[in-house]
Amino acid sequence: MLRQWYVGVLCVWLVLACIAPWCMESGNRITLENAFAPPTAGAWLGTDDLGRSILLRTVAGAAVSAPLAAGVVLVSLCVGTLLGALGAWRGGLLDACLQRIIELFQAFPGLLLAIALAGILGPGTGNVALALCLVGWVGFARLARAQVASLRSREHVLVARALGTPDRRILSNHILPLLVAPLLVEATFAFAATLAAEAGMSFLGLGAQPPTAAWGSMLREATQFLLVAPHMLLGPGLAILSLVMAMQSAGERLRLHWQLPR
Amino acid sequence: MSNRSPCSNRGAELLSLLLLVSLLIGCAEQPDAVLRVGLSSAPATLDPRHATDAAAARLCRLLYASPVDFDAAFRPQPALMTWEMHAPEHYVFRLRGEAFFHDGTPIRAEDVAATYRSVLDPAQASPFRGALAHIISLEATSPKTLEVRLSRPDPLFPGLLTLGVLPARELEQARRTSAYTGSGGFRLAAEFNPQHVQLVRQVDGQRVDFLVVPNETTRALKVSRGELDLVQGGMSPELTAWLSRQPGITVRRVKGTVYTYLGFNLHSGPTRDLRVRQAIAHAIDRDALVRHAFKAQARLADGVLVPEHWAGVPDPERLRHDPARSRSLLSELGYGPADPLELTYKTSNDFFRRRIATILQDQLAAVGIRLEIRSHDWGTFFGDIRRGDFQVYALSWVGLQLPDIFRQAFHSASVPPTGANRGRYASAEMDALIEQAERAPDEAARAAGYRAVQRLLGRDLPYVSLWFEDIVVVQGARVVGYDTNLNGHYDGLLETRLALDEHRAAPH
Repeated sequence: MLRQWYVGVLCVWLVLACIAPWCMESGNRITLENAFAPPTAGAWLGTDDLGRSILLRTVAGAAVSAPLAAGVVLVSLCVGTLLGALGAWRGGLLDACLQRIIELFQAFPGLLLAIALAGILGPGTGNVALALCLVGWVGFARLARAQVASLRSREHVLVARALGTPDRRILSNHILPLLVAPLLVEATFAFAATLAAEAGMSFLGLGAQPPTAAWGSMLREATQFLLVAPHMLLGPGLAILSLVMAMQSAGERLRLHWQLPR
Repeated sequence: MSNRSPCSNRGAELLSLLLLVSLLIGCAEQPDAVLRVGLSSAPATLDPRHATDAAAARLCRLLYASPVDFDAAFRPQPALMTWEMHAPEHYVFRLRGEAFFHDGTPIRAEDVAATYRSVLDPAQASPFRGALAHIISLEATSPKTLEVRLSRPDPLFPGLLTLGVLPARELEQARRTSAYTGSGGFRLAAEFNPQHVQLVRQVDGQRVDFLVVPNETTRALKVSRGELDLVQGGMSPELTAWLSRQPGITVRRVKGTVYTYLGFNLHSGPTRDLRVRQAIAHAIDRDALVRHAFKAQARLADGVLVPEHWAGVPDPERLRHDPARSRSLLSELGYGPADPLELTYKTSNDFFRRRIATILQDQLAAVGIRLEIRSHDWGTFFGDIRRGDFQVYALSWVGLQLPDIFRQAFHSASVPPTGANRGRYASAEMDALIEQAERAPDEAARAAGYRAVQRLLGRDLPYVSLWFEDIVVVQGARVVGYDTNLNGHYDGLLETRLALDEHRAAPH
C-alpha cells in the first residue's frame, strides 16, 4: 500500500486544485499587522511578509501551477507527437529538417531557453506557458519519431501498406495505439519537469504577477526571509516536492508496468 | 603479525598528535587588520567621469578629491578649491593650499581643467556631460587658478564641480583605464577588481576591502559571523532587525535622502486627469507602508528635497490618507464597482519593490482601483519609463543635492532623452517658476522660488511623494568610530579604526 503513496498524494492535490479557486481571494488578503506569524493551530503554515495565510496561498497556488503544467504537457504532447510521427513516417527532407530543429533545441538547455523566451515575451503565466510549450514539444517529437521509425518496419504495418491502406489510417489504427504507453510515461515525467520549470520561472519573477499566488514566487519571497521567518518555505516547498515526486513515481511505476526501457 | 616495536607505534602517535595540533593552530582564525565592507553590487568603474552607480560614486569619493563638496544643508562648500562669482556666467576657482596626487605630484588647476574638459569631450561619453554642457571654456590661468565661462547664468554652478580630479598627464595619454592615480583619502592597494576592491588609507596604511555579496541574506550571515565588518544599506528592515539581535552587531539608522515616488503618465491615459491622481494619492496609506514594510526605517516625503535641504520645504503640507475622498473623486469621474478604474503599474523585478507594489495594489483596491502589476528586469522597466510607456510606476531618486532636479524632472523641455521628465508633465506655470528660481539673485530668493515650485508640484501631482529611506549601518564588534551622513557616503572610513585587541576576526 505504501508503495503507492503517490496515488494518495496525487488525489489530494487533485482535490486541492479543484477547491483552489475559492482560496484565491482569501489567500490574497493582506493584513500587515499579522506579518510573519509563525504556524499556529489557527494558521497551520503561518503567515507571510504581508500577513497572508501561507496555507491558503499554497492551495491557491495549485490553481496556477497544476493547470499550467497540464496544459503545457498536453500541447507539447500533441505538437511533438504529430511532428515526430510525421517526420519518421514521411522520411526524406521533412525528417531531416525536423531532426536538425530537434538537435538545435536540444543543443541549448531547455529551461534557459524558456527563461529567455519568457523574458522577451514579458512576465505572466500565459507567456510562461507559451515559452514552456515552445521548448516542451521536443522531447515528445524525439520519442514519437524514434517509435514510429521502429514501428513502420513492423510486419503488421508492412501488411497494411501492402493492402493499400491509406497512411492516415495506418498511423491512427496501427501505430498511434502502440505509442500511447511510452508517450504517457513521457508525459508524466514531463508534467513533473514542467511543474519544476514553472516554479523556477516564477521564482525569477517571470511567472504569475502579484498578488496571484504561485509556488515559485512564494519560494522566492520565503528565501528573502530565511533568517526571519523560515516557516514561509514550508508550504510552497512541500507542495512542489510532493507533486513532483508523486508524478515521477507515477511515471516510473507506469514504465515498469509497461516494461518500457529507461 | 606485526613486527613493529611499541616505540615506533608511540612515535607514530606522537607525530599524528603533532600534526593534529599544527592543523588546529593553522585552522584557528588569526586576527587580521583588514576592515571588510560588504557591497550589494559591484562598482562598474573607478573612473569618476563614469561613476554613476552608487557603489562606484562612493568609492570614487574615497579615491579622488573634488574641487567642491556639500555641507549638511546641501550648500556647495570649498573642498580642493574656493570660488568667486564674477558674473553668473563667469566663475574663478582657486586651489586652497597644497594638495597632492598619490604619486606625490601636486594638484594644479590644469588637472581640474583637464578632468572637466574630458567630461565635456563627446568621445568620452561621460554621463555627466549633459549637466556641464553650458560650460564654454575652462582655462587654467595660473597653477592655482581656474576660470570658467558659461553659456547661461547658473548660480548653482559650483555644486556641479563635485567630480574627483584626475591627473592631466594621464588624461593626455588618452589611455582608457578603470582607475587613475588618485588624490583622496584612500588609494588602490591592488589592481581594480570590481568584486573585491582593495583600498589603503593614506594617513596610516589601514586596509579596507570592499567585497561584493549580492544576496542580502548571505551578507547578513557574513556580518553575523564576522566575515564582514560593515554593511551600509541594501538590507531589508526584517534582516536588520534580525542582525540587531545578534551578539556583537550594532545597527544604526541615519536619515537618508533616497526619495521614492509614484510617477504618472500625464500625456495619455486616465492619469492625465488630476482627479485620478488625487484619488490615487488619497488612497495610499503611506504611514502603514512605512510602519510595516520599512519597520519605520524611512520617513514620509512631501517634497523631492529633504526638509534639511536649503531649498527644501521645512513644514510641507502633508498628503492625507483619505479613502472616502478617493471614492468620491472616482465616482465624480464615473468610476464605481461596476466600472472600476483599471491601471497598470510598472516596477522592477526587485523583491522589495514588488512587495511595495503588492501593498499599493491592495490599498488602491480598497477604494475601487484595479492595479495590474507588471514587474520587469531593470533594463526593460527603465526603458519603458524613459519612453513614456507606462501609466503608473514607482522609482527612487538617489543622491539629490542640487535643486536643478526640478528643471531635470519637471520642466516641459526636459522630456527624455533631454531630461528626466518621464511623465511628460507640461505646465507653463511650472516652467516659469523654475526659470524664475534659477534667475534669483541670492540664495534666499532661490530657496523661496524652489519652495513655490514644490508647492505647485503638491497641487499638480505629477509625482506622489512616498518616503525618504533611512540609511542603515550594520557594523561588527571590531569597528570603532564609523559614521555616515545623509548621502550614505563612506567618508566615515577616514576615521574608522579596528579594535583588534578586544575582538578576534571571524570568531566562529
